Amino acid sequence: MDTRYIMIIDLHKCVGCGACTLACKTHNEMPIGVFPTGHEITTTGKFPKTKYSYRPTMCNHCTNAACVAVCPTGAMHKDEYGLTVVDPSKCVKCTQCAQACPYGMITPAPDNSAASDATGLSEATIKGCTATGAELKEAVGKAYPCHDPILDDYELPMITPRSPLKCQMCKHLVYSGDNPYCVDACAAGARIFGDVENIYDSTLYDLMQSYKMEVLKPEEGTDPAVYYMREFHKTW
Amino acid sequence: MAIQQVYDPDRIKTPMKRTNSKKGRGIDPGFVPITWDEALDTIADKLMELKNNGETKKYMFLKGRSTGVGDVFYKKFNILYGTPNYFGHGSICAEAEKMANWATEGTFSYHDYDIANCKCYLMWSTDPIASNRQVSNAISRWGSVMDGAKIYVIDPRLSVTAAKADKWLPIIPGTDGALACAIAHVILTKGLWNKKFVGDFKAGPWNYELTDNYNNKKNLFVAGETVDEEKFEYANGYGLVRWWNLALKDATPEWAEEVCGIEASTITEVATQFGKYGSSSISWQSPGTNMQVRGVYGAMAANALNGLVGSIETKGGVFRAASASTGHLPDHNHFRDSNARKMAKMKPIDGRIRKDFLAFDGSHIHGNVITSRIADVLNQEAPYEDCGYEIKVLISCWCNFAFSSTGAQRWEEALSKVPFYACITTHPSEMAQFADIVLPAKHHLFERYGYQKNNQGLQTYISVQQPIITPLWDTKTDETEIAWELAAKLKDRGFANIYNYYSKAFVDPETGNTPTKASEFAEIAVKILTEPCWNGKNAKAGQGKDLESWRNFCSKGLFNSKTQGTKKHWGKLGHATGKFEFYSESLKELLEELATQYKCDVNEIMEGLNYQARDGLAFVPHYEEPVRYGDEKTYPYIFEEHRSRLSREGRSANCVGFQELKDLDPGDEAWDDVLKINPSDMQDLGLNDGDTIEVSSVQGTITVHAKGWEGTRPGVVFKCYGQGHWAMGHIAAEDYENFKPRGGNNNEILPCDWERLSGSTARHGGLTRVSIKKVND
Repeated sequence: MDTRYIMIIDLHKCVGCGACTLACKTHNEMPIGVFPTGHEITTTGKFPKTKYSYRPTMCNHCTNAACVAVCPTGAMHKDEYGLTVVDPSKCVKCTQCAQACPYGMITPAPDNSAASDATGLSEATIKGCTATGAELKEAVGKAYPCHDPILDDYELPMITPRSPLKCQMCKHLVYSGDNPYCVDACAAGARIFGDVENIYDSTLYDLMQSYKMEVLKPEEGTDPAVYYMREFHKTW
Repeated sequence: MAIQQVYDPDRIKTPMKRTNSKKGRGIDPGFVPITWDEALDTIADKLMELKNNGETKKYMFLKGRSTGVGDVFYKKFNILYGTPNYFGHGSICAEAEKMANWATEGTFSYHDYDIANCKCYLMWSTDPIASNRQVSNAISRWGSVMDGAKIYVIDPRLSVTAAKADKWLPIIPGTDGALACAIAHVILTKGLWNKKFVGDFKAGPWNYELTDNYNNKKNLFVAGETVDEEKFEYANGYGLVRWWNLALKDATPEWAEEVCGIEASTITEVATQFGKYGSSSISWQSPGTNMQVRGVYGAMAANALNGLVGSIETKGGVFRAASASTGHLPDHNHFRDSNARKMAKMKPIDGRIRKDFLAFDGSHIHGNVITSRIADVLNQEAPYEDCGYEIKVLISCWCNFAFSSTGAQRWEEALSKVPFYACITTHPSEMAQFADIVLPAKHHLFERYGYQKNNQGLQTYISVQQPIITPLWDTKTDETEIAWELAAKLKDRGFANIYNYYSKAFVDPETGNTPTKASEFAEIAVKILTEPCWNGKNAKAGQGKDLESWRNFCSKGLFNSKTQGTKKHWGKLGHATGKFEFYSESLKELLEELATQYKCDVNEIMEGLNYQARDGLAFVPHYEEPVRYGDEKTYPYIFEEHRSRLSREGRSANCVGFQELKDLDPGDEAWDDVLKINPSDMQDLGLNDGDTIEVSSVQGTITVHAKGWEGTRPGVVFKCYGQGHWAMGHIAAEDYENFKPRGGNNNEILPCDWERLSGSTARHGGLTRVSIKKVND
């Protein structure tokens, strides 16, 4: 069988800490307000029967990806492993992908480089005593001060100013056999990633067999590669 | 988040000095950059001036967070210079919890917990998957914990731990002692206490009447009935019958329901489960239940539940930290002059030696610093009434009491009055706004040597902090390098004692070399203190053998102790009796000693300590009515605060990640500071989400936004601590230049008060009432 990468998120193990979100942002050098992996929080019920739940969200890497279908140039495309990825050289910034995504997980290509949060500060907070963005950039030697040296060895899929910002399942890591960054950053072990067709490691297959799997918006017919198992609450 | 801290453009990159002599909030200090030489020369001159005038005691050092080498500056420098006035942050931390553990179990420390094997948790406002001492450990295990254990979370707020629990018990703030006593009542009346650990009724005529409760012995713990002490025989417990008679016999679930707002049936259910799981049950405390004005007795009750079910040092129970040896700093006595010896005996200025403070530190009455009281003393006219002299020079290191202490306004006033103040910090801070000199510190995780000792999973670990990036700016290690440089400046001015101590007594355990410069000193200090972890030749048996060298230790980064054994302290538990003290002879000894010292009786002492208990009740866990500032009519809502899962050592608020992910704290909003109000109260107040409101108490007023939230009970409003910085940087403040905070600091509405047995700052239990008023933006 061909490789088919999927992500299973175990909500029972998830504690809603947001480490995935923060780690993803740091590793992929995302600007303020952009969350390739984010979260949905719901609080329901009346005191004292209040329920709080948390669900990490991300690009679902749909088999029937609406973003791919609408892309006029093929910039947004499916790779050979089923991941939904972007070729920035083909992107014409039409933003149709972002509009088409039923999950709202694509941010249109920004005008400037993504790597500008800290280095964007034009005036020092205390003149001469704290840094401007330019000084910080010079001191660190990188446009993005939290730059992850791992990225030096790879093509940087999300850091080009031309491409829409979305989760590309850290393809720069995955193609070399590593986990997406969020998976390793999850202290709870709530994210399980791998090739569901791998005959040598049946971890994902077994989970699929043992637990009821949920996908978001099944009515959209997108056939996501991101599955949710169990509940955020204790079930008993 | 730490990565965002280290690369924060708002970090202070050079020493700076104030050019505006006027001090106060809203006054621009006019900071300008200066060299390290100029900064240290200025401080050294001030210290020498005091020295030459024979008034070294008028110098004070304040410390917040520190690493294992903190004492190099905090203790050694200050002892050798000659001042009794060096104070840590301990009492604004959670000393009341340690006090309660000491009074019952004989250990003045926090517990470790056998998470892997516990079957039933009572969480007293504990939120271990969001904020506690072992968050990562708890997060990594929580899925299994939920699979294998009952989890009951007692918390006025729907925390994330509560959201994932079997049951959330939204208690009325400050009434934990009543709930704990009712749980104990149920455990005893149902015969569910651990007879092997605590003891049991003796065989006797009272047992002729057979019952089915336990081994056909009659359970004499019957609601409302006094029990004859003679009829009980103790194993590892002590004074259970006296506790029952004094505080428990009438503490029925129905009584507690009235006090704490938790249904009697729920109390009975929780107590039954807790008792049923016995020695694999954990009653797990957090500051929420003990950092209260009358917090220790409730905390004692919560820990007494561990004693009742015998989960002290058992599989699935509570533990003391496993031992892991660290080294000692070299002896300083040879370098201490007569002035320093004399000054050490002077009365410290924090005013802890008083009849109305026990301020116990685990060893001595009046041994614990009363950190937050220092502001009140500084605000007295010089010379201070408390000690007969005044502070002229202050150095602070990694603390921000003008933000982090209750009654924060007191610190602003106090710091404005100190004639000379040098502040060591990584970022701009509220405290630094009052400084004459600011010295920039290296970041503790990435830029310097240090070490941390902590425990989790029944192991104590020692992790080494080391420079893994080149420091971005002209910064120095606060605890070692700055101390060294300042000592050298004092030597240049004719006072060489500290420099001689640092440069001669500190010997590299590997090479035998002594330090010749600050950077060498910084590394050698950590090598000396961590030597037992890595020096196979000198290490104690069983420790450090596999790490062998300093380099090896640095490369692994971590030393793990042996796993703590079970029943290790049985037979030597309570300080006074060796047993688990349900009736605390240990606390009784202390209170009687304080009474003797002030020639009065214990009841008078209790009155001064602001506790309600008199006579025997003062020695057992029990319920005390919470102290609330403000009358109900003017201030209709009980205010309570909680911690953010995003706060890392209190230095996160200027990180973009903290702000844009602030909604990770249940009920909170990104980039905002909201007061969480029950929707029914929102309706009464005519408020909508996002409305700007003024929240006022007897202490002060802050301006924040309103948020309707079902995670708090009607009448109780919640706000997370951490926002409200007006001087920490351009992200933390809404408008740094104009001193406008993002939201409001809880400590500006929380009045300053104490748990006086330990000297702890009280901030929980609904310490204050507030009024809420809608304002137009």
